[in-house]
Amino acid sequence: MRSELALVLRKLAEDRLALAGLLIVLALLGCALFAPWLATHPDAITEIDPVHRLRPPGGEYLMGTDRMGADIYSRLLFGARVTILIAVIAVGAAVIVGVPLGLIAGIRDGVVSNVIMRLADIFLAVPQIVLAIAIAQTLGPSLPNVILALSATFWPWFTRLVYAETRAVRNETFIEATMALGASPARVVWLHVLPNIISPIIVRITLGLGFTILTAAALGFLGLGPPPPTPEWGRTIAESREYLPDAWWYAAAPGFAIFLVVIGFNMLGDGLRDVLDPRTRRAGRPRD
Amino acid sequence: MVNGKGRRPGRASTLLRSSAWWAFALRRLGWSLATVAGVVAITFLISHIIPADPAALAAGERATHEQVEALRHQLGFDRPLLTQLGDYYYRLVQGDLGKSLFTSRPISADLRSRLPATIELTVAAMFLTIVLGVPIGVLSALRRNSWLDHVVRLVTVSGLAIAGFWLAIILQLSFAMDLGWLPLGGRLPPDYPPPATITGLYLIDMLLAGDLHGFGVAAAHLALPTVTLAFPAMATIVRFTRAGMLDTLNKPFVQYERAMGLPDSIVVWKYMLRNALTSTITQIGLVAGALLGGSVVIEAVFDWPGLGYYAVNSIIMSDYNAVLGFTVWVAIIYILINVAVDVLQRLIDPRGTS
Repeated sequence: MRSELALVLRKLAEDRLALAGLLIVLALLGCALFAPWLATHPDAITEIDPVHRLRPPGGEYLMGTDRMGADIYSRLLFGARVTILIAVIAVGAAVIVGVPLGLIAGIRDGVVSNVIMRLADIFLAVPQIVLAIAIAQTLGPSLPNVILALSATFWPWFTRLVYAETRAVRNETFIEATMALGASPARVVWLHVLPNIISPIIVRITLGLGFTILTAAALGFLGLGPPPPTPEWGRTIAESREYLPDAWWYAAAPGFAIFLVVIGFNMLGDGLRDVLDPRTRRAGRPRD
Repeated sequence: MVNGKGRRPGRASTLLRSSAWWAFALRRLGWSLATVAGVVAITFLISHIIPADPAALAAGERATHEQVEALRHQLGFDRPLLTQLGDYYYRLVQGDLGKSLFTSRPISADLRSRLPATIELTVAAMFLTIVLGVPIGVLSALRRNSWLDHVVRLVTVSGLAIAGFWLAIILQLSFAMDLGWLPLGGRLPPDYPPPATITGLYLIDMLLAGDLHGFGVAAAHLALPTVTLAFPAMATIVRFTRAGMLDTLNKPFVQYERAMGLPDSIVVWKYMLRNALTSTITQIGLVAGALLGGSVVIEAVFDWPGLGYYAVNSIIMSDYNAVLGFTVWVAIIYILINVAVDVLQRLIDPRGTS
């Protein structure tokens, strides 16, 4: 197992784009973890300081200040925490719900399998952002509600993927042999199916994190994200619109942060796919 | 073939195949109706189980307890949930989505009046996506690992990573505010009379009215939202076309046609592209979904008076019924597009027909 991991890492290191992606993701984690130390104005991100509002970048304020006079650079760093929190919990919950459902639907036949997959179809029948908007709107704007809206709309992606992979593995001889030896379905799934389909799941998680960050930012932009003064990136961009075109840095900085982070996850995901899942090509990736 | 000699076997088999195709199309449509019903049920249940009280919201902050209860009764929110859902279905079948909690106007009429703006925007974006995306994908595959390919890949990776609303704002900043080349938003300037409604699509209506200047004005307003909306979709189409072309490059039939001395341009743009596009066509349904979803945010940024703009305003007003109605409409549109894509796909490539 350890040597396998080393192999994956070594192959990943040969792919320059994937390596760049990994570095970006690590940098994001670093920003979130060490935000209080990296920030130049760690205490001022939620305080009102009208004297210094809407200052252009440079000097004391690396990326300028916002309408409250808070340092945008420091707010971005703390915003990274919000972004990671939303993405990791939302995708994590989607995995916890979606993967077991996909395994059950894949290994069983008949009613159970049909009910699960039809339910997934229903959720996939509306563009994710639209369903997430509908849910987040009814729940009201808050951090837990954004996470709920995102995971409630993302689990079917895992269910569909795992279902298809499980069906493909189920007919392999070694699964039939294990079944014939009398292993319970749970044992077969846990010990034999799951380890064989883990690669596409990991790839989907990586790409899904980037995708979820984009959707979360859109919800924040629409006012459905965590309420102010949370330094959420999407909401910051929405706030900045009033002060354009003069305070261009106000909109530019958080948008570029989103862009960079999502591109990081996408490049890492593409690289992981090439290493872990050579059957599918880099370019043949559906809808991410 | 009419004078009673019977059909030739080839014709009969075509007929058989087409009846199988019809069965497939009908089955697919039946499932879609069930899916729409499911979407309604889920959004309805979520929006009615959740603690927030729609009656209290509709009544306003100053309403007394009695007023809220009276309104709750009037809106029917005090009845059992399943009765409400059944009632919603009953009215939905008749095309009635209820009334806005805020303006008391019928929601279907509101949505219908905003549909043409969204159609104009998404169709323009789809057009741009295909017209630019497919050739770029082909060129990128033919010159694999050239500087062109690298640039294209960089741009497509960016297209999938950029937040639509941010791209919209950056384009507004540069082309509308800074350079002043294009308008900031809306479909027409406030003082410009809209064309007589024939299709509801301003570009076409302007042409039909013979107003070329108006056509230019409408096109200028359409430009930025279209580019913003098309950018991520184009990235997807380029990737799939490129992958499809790369798969086709070394197929025996391509080598055969080359060996037969067919010019490169015909081999590439006629035979290879047709083969490579099968996977791209499947993507069009998904791209349509991305465009519909993306239009919500982008219409809001560009004040484009379509469905998405309506939805965002309803969100701000906490207008439950309107958001639910919007979701149902998008679900129906999206499902119909996907059925159409599936059914067409079957018609073009009947190999999957059992």
